Amino acid sequence: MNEKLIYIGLAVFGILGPIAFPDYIMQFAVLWIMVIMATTWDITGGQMGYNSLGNITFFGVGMYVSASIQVSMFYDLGAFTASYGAIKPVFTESQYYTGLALGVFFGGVACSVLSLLLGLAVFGLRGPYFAIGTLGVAVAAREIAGTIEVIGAGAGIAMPFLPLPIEYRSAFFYVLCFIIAVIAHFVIRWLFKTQFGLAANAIRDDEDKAEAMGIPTLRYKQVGWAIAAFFMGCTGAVFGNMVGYIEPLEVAFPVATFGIFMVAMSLLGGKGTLWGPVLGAILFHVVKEATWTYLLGLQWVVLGLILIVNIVYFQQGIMGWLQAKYPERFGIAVDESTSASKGEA
Amino acid sequence: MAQNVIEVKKVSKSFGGVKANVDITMAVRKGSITGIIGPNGCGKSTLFNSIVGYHPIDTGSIKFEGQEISHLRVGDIARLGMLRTFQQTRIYTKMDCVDNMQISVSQRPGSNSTMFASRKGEIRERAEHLLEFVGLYSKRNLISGDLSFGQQKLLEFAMALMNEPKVLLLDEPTAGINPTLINGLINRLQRANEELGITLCVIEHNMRVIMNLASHIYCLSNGKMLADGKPEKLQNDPRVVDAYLGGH
Repeated sequence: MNEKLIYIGLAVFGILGPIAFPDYIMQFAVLWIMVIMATTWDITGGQMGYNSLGNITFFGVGMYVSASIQVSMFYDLGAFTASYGAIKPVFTESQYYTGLALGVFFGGVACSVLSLLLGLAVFGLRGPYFAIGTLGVAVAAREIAGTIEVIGAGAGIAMPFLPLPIEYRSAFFYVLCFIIAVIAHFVIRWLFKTQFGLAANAIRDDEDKAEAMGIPTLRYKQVGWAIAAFFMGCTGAVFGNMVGYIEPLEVAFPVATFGIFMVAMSLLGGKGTLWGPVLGAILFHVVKEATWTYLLGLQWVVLGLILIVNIVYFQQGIMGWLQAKYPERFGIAVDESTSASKGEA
Repeated sequence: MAQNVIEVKKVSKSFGGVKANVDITMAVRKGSITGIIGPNGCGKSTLFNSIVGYHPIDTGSIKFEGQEISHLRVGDIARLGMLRTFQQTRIYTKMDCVDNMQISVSQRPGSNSTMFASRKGEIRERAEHLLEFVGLYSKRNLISGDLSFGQQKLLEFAMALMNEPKVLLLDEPTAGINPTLINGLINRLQRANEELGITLCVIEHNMRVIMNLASHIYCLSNGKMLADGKPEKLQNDPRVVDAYLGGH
């Protein structure tokens, strides 16, 4: 099977890549984060047709929730952030790892709960209004985070140090990112093999019809977003620790960069498909890093050009284009038999 | 007398100055095929929309199996077991036919459809059998939006059957379908009614179709109930003939 080869290829790349090119290990970690962003965005964006521009909210909220848990389990969070890094608390190994594990998990859970509540409000909107509404949510989250003193407001939080020798630091966070990407992929893969996947596509194609057929559409939309929010929250929590210092504008809520990139990556690879967002994220990241390195000054021009070509000439993305060109390979073909009962016709 | 599954009493609905329905009273007997006829713009589709909860009614009462439903929304009514098809055929155009069928399973409480249920096994078999029933089995893996209009109409009908409704309201099921296919469709409607026990309520302009199909017909004109009765009686009612041929 083709898919087996893809899995083997990705596994080899995921495991041997950072060993072969240790200098790029942080780049690889960011690559997996982008894969997570694109694939989870696609749950509501591609598969349900609800193009959220605000999923980055959960990235930031997960990051802050995790940081708060990690610090406040052992120290007074308010005093810690008020000192602007003057207090250098020491976390023992067990304190650090317990805090991190709980932080990442409950960062995700908190985002799921938040998405369920937000969903009640924003899922009443459709099309461009939903996109703008969710964008508003992300911008609001960024502004609000910048005013809450206990989490450091605009000055942010310095994260606890990883109690490992510095040369293992990158590898440690790389492994975490890789694991979350793998789990997210298989959860989504399973999800879209169940009735949930069909309901999501039905909502995308004709939500009023789905409602008329008795599908409780709001519940499906909320659940889809909550799953995406969980993984975004976990990823944000890991990213915060990876960067080592979190603040609202650039690290926690990068609305205009990663918030938009995740949409662009899904569109590039082919939204509404299992592999499209993965492919899109990898291509996008490679192009982005290459232009940042070799075409500095023109990097935004190149990215913009790709986006325009993608949206004007190539809306279905790479996977969508392949499916339209070779439908038989995707099982879209007339079957000559006319009867469902095997052997009789 | 058999039980009425739908009871509409003195329902009125206006849109701005247009009185689409005025004091409509009608009933659909359980297990029957009931027809609704009337000239264009006489309020048939408005009546359908009122029954399935697409918009609130101004006055009156609509009961489904004895339960007042005029305040319920579309999804709630569908989950009670009353479905409608659309005059402008509506299917999930980017999904293949089998997927269209499988997502149409009943969402009623107690039905075994859950959010994360597997798509293999019994559901898939039933989907394929119903596609065979409407003659679309060989096209089951095609994207439904690529089918012809008539085939899409058949698919929409099969999707409705997949849902195992108690009552199915069909809005012009034969519009835009060629005469040969119409005969097949009538036959399938009758079989759905007899074999699956689904009560049908049909809006139709094709007199030959509705006179053969329905056991009781209501005729609307200018938003009011003009006449009702058995097909033979209506065919000879001068008011009905006037409404269709003369009138405006």
